[in-house]
Amino acid sequence: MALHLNLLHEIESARRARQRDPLKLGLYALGFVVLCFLGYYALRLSTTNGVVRKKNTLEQEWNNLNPQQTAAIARAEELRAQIALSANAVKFIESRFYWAPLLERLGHLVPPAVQISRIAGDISGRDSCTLSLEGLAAGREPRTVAESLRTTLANDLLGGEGSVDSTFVSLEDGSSQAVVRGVALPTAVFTIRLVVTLPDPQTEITAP
Amino acid sequence: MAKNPSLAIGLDLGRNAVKSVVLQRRGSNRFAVTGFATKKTDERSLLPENVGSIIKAVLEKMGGSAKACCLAVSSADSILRIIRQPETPPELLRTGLRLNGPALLNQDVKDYVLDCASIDPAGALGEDRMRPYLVGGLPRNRVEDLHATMDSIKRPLTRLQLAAVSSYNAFEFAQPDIFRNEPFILVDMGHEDSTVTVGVKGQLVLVRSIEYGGRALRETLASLAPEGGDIYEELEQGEETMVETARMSLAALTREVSSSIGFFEGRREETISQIFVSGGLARSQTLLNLMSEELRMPCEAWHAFERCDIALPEDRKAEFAREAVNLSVACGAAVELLGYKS
Repeated sequence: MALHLNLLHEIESARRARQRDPLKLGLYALGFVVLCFLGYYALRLSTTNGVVRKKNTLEQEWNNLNPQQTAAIARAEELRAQIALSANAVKFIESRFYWAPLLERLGHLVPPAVQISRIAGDISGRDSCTLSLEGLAAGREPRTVAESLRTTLANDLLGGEGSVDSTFVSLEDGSSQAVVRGVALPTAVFTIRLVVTLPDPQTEITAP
Repeated sequence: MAKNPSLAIGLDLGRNAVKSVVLQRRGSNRFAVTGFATKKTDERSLLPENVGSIIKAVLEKMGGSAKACCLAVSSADSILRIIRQPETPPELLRTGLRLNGPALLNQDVKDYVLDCASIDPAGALGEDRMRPYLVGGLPRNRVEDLHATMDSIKRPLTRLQLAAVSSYNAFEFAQPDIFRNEPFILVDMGHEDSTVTVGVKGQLVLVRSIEYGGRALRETLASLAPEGGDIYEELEQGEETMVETARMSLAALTREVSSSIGFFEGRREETISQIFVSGGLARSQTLLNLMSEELRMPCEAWHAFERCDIALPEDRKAEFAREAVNLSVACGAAVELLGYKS
């Protein structure tokens, strides 16, 4: 039978012991863990660098855009003020009372025997106003003429829409006579107060 | 268990020459020699710092790409003993031998690297419940030097063996029938000393070193050879004075071989009928004849490649045929790595 001696067994045992040395294996494991940490650190570093780069880019962009933003805010304030002013103007314009159609209609309703000597108006809203009419009515029965005027105004000033409240503030016989078509007629002095409420702000008062 | 390589280098680090062979396994029980090389050395070249370059030169000369390498060492300070011990695991026995060297090996071996192997692990234990073990050893610093040397030339050693054990293994590889069935005696004639190994039926019985080798013979014959002439050529020519001087010189060896045979035959009821001689001196037929005459039994040169294919270039086959008897140790070292089983 072949004889097998190997005088390297001590060296091989020492080599195996070195290979299995717990300290060495521990150091390998530690090295591996350190490598993992370094890898993680490198990963985080690259991520952080990316974020920092992005932040710097955004900061630079912010620095570039901030004056523009400030200017834009100022400009926005300015424009807002202009818009508000414009809106107020529009509101003012749109909420004004249109006297012309009302006065035109009033002119058509006043008969020839009546003379309006004074009109005073007071606007209490976009769709309502108060008129004070002072005048002189002439006729055989001048008070009737004045009454007729008041009734006509109450019924026909708005053509049946809206409401017109027509009341005499004063109605007195005049001291003078008026000549109508060559005939001298007695007169009555009257003051009528009209409270006009338009039916709809959009409704325009048209001439009859 | 590691798989045996299919290609192995066997190196024989002798005191006169470094020899190497490459063996290749070509089948379950078929082997081929694919390379060999030898290089003469001197004392200076065997110094630890020079051994590496010598071995490197031999390996380069031999060629081949084998990685597995077994180095067999012949050394005057090596230990090779047969001891009888109760059956013990080798690891424990190594430790026991190192710590109890004086008691078990008759010398302090704390500075030695020892290894041991059971000589007959399958055999029945004797009445004394003891089992024979072969113990081999080399000084630790020598082992470390050789290991470092082989590492330095990028040929790390797979195994480190003693030359006598490699020679014994080579004989089993070359002559399995005789090895298994008969008593045998091997005489490996080296440069400084010779090793006598006696075995029977596959079991090692005796191994001993004799301080006689080629160097002693050459020094004896040197004064008789004509100036510039080759001693061995003169010897082969049968020049009477030289032959008789060689006979007288060889007596130192033959006497010891004879006593070894007597020791064996005295203890066992078996007779050795033939002596197998290897080593450099075995190339001389005259010396073999002289030994046969002195020992009164046939002495035959043997080499380890009888069952191997010779896969060498044609121009190297003649050289290999001349050197084969000197390559048994290297062959035994390589065979050990290839995992030959008889």
